Amino acid sequence: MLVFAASDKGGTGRSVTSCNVVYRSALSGSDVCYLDFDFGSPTAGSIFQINDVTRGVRRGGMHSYLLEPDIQTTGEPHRIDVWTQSSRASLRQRPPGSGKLMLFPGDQDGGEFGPDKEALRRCVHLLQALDEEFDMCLIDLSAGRSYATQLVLEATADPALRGVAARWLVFHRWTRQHIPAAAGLVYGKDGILDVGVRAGHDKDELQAAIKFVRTAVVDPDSIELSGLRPAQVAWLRDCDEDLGQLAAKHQVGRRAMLGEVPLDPVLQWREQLISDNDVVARDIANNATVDAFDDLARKLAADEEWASL
Amino acid sequence: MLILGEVLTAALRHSGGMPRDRVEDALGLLAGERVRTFERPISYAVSPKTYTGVDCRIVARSGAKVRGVGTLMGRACLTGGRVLQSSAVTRIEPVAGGFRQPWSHYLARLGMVEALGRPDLPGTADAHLLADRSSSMMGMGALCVRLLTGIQGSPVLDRKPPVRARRTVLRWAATIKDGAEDVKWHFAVREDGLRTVRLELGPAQIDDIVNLCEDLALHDWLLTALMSIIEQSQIGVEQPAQSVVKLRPAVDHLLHLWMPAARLDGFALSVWEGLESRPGLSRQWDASVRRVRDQMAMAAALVNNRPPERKQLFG
Repeated sequence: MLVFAASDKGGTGRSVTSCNVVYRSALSGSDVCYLDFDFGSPTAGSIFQINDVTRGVRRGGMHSYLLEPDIQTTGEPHRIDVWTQSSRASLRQRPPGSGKLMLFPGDQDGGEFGPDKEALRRCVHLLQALDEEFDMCLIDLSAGRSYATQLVLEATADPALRGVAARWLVFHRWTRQHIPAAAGLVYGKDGILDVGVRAGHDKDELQAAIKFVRTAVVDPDSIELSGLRPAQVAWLRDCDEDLGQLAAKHQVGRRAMLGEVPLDPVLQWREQLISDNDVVARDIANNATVDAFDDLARKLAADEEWASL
Repeated sequence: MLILGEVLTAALRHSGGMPRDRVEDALGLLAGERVRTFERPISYAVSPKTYTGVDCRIVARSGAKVRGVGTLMGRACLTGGRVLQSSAVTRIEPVAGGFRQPWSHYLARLGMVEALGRPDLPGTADAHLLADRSSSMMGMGALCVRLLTGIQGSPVLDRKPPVRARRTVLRWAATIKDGAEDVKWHFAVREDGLRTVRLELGPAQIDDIVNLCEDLALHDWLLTALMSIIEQSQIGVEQPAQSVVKLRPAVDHLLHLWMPAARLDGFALSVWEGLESRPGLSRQWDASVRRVRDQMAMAAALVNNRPPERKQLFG
């Protein structure tokens, strides 16, 4: 299964949520990999806490694999086994029964690029090879309408990848600006659907394969907000309702949503993986956050969540 | 004489075994050339040979850089309707003088690369075997990937791999010495899904060497895939019924494929005999298969005869 993580704006928590979802899937026994297609600013190395590649690798990353003619297309770009390479002790011991957790890092000096036939060919070969090996490949795309998005839409429309499940997660914060922006990225002009149809996808099928993920959601009823005055809670509830209506109007409502991730201080200030240790022993992260990641990982793999209506 | 090769092995992206008539559609790399198929002792199909022209640098370990011009032979084969392999092979022939000939010259010598300059054959063999996975000599790795990817993308496949496993690369170098009587070999498992084989032998057919190396790569891949399935099934940690569910792909798709040296004879058989004593591939395979079967038997026994829940001592 291929999963594409997209967002219209930066700072939605796309990368950190994706990394956590991949991590939870690996813990549950699936073989998973994470491809950093955020060519402008690869950050996955720092989220997985791989010291040498916090801002991407010097050479042989995703960007150069797709674009540099000198690199042989052996279907094998630079890979990092997170279970053995992470500098974080709690990640370094691969729990028994867990699956592979592999990172394909970006390049330090990547940058965006334009349409390229050879890059498309290499992208198709790469996704094909990784689909043979991994239960789930998560491809983290640059924010906004990027060439990376167009590239993977063209690649998944290629006959060689037909029949491989491809699912899209569009991340947005639960705010007045982010909801219309996410809708625009999917439904708008030159949005995912528009570009996808031009690349040869069926519009309804593609739309059924796109789900939204709300991030940094504040739940007015949560225990963390129990200190608020009644008037504040009532106001929060009104806002939440307004946002719900706004989302429905933009086709970003509950039916198109896969899950939501609550606001968590650990995610906000230290973009990192949340381990069970952070929740149970150190008590710095919230249980609800980990539950949300587990829920996303489970729903991603569940075919009934993605059945077209 | 030096012969270099590389074999790429993967699970065919098709949910069940490939029926024979479809195999010919998938492996037909060249129009008009037949796919050869065999049914005994295990179903096996091999594509026609294809040739790819190269003009590139041949690296030697000493650092000497030689220009190589000629063709690589490529072919693909499918074993048991499930395991797909592609191979790239060439013979390195040193020639005097440093000039490239017209292509007709090389087309008359298919499957051979002429080394122009001052060649260092042992150094070239070393460089080939010691290079890491992503940097393959003369683009052999890229050729293997191209052949394999083409077949994996074929419309006759349903794109549902029966087992998830990494493609493995087996690189080999065979030195042929006219006087040599017995075969010397060295098989090494390296990191990154890379294996190397070094062979030293008397006069032999290139096809026989290719068959041997493909057979080795096939069985090494099977063993690697089975071990990884067993590791993730958490035998002894999970309930047997749960472990068995995870072991199922191995039972469905892998266990019946183990048949070392099924189509080999002569020197290739003696290499396999040596491999059986050390590192003992079949011993490891048999032990793993017994482990899988024991788990299945135990799971079946426990379903009918569930032991009474033991009272916990604490809490």
